[in-house]
Amino acid sequence: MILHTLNKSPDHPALNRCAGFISDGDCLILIEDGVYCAATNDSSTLNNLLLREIPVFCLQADVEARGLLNRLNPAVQLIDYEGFVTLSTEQTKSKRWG
Amino acid sequence: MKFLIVVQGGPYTSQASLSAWHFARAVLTRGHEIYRVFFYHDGVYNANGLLSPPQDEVNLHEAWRLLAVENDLELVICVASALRRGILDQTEASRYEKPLGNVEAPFIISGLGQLIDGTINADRTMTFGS
Amino acid sequence: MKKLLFVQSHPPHGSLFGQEGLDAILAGSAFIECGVLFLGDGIYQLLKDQQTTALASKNFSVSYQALHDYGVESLFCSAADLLARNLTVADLIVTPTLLDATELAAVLRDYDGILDF
Repeated sequence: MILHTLNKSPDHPALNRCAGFISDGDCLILIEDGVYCAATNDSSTLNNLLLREIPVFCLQADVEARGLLNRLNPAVQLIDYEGFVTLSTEQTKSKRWG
Repeated sequence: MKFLIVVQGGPYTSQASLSAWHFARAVLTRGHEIYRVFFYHDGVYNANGLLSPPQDEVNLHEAWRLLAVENDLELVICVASALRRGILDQTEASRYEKPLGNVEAPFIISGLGQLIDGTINADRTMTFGS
Repeated sequence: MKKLLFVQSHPPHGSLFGQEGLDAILAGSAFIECGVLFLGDGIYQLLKDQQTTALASKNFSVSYQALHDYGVESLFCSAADLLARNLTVADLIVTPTLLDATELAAVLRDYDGILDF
């Protein structure tokens, strides 16, 4: 099971590429500019992951710094750095996208 | 659990170094161990002791140094990445006849074997890049 | 940890990710079983006939031919990435295994650790 980390906005091809590699049991954390992926209302890629019940997280400090706290897809879960660490211990390895 | 943290982004060029530093602090707060922090690619710029950001901005070199001193962390920068980017300790500066070095402990210059050793012996590897 | 996967996802010469990633692969091969996955523009690192003299950039792509001697036998890329870039394996300096989307995801699962460049 893989923790996928993504740090690019949806303008970058990273989100679409990453989605093809996410298997059941994996989860995705959006960090840095990756949090913008949860702020658009037309991301079919993100919605497909959520429909597949892939857990998607956003790093709260990155969300707050970018003024996105009230602009996120409500199905995405906010976590802090300690939560990020816990996710990385729950998954067996990590893969960086960006 | 033991973590290897790999930093591939330069400070003030991308957010990678800052994210990695926050993550490292959280690893320790959660009671886990940091096996090593390995700085590669532009990440080696974090070891530059001459970084002098304005006082109201975080000094990432100092932030890493303090975290390492307070928690006895190993901060390793890759020698090949470092030398070509002008990141040298006093020994390397003398060897290459440069007027000064800009790397001091707790940052250590070493080889890529330390990256591979880390991935093998840590329980988790987390990479932060630009 | 038994097997380590290196992922090369940047084209050559525009950054040092490819060259420094290859250095890490060569180092890794001395310690552990290694595989390499070329993703997206990373496959351009393997393109034949890179002429870097005028640019004064290092043509590290030739070192990929040495991977076999270092015991690195498992090279993978996406068949769709090749097609999208108008490439075939005949255009490449070494021959990776072409995989579809399902097989690519399986490669990530198969390795114990992943290093991204």
